[in-house]
Amino acid sequence: MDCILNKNEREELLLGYCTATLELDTTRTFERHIQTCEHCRELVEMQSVLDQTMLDWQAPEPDADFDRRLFAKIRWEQEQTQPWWREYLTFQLGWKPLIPIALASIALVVFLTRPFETADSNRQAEAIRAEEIEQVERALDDIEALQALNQQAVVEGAKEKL
Amino acid sequence: MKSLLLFVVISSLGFAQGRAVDLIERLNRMSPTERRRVLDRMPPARRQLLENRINNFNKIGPEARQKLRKDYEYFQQLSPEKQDEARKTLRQIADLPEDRRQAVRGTINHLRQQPPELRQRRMTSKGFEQRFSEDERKLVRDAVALLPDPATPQD
Repeated sequence: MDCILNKNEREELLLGYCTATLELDTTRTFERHIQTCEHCRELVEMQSVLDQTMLDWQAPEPDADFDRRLFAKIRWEQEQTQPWWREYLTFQLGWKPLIPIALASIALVVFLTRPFETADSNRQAEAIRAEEIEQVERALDDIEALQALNQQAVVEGAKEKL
Repeated sequence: MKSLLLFVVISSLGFAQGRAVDLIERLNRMSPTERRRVLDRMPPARRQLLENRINNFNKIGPEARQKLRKDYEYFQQLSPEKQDEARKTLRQIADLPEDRRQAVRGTINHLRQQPPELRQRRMTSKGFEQRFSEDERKLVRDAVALLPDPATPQD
């Protein structure tokens, strides 16, 4: 069978499917394809595993003593005698080293005053993946089909006789 | 707002599957910004279609929604193969001409509310044979077999 992923746009198609960014028709076509193409199905599964792993991964928290040790090391380095060339450079640079400090301060202010959103919330949003949006769409397909039956019951009502 | 509608749809249907329950919980914990982001990454046409379908669902009255919920829960309990069969049958019914579609759907609904024994008798009656073509009779039989009324006691 001619595999869709042999075409040029295969990466876009695969990633688009896994992130729910394809048009509905393309999504449905691809879904039909992966029912019969083992190779593509494996790729989708691998991509899903990768996505899930990325979502599940959490950066390790620094231990409680980290700040103290860091500042102790900084202090120790500051206390060391600087070579003549470093003193020369510091003197020549003048106010320039303040630029990164100012930028860092601005970034900190922006970070602290941003609209409140927890890291957990961000992770939850990322975790709503293509297949879950499609799950909702498929559920709506079924619901609408069942609803059509029920609507007819209202129209026909008790007059229905065989 | 869009994701809130999405949440209403899912929660009001009472998904039985673990994944869907997780989805509800995650949507519930999201800030409005995050909820919006979930749908905003979809292509505009697809997102619009989904929003319209959700809005249409929200217009269904409470009683009809309750019935639909039961039907859907029952449908979810079918095996994947049975679900596919039911979808195929319902699609074929939807493709019938308007008058035939109404007749077939009305009969299916009527039969779904009958006890199994009576249902069977009616589907083998002369009237049933006269009223429907062979293909239509098969559609009715398949639909009733696959989707009996959840409120009606089954064998």
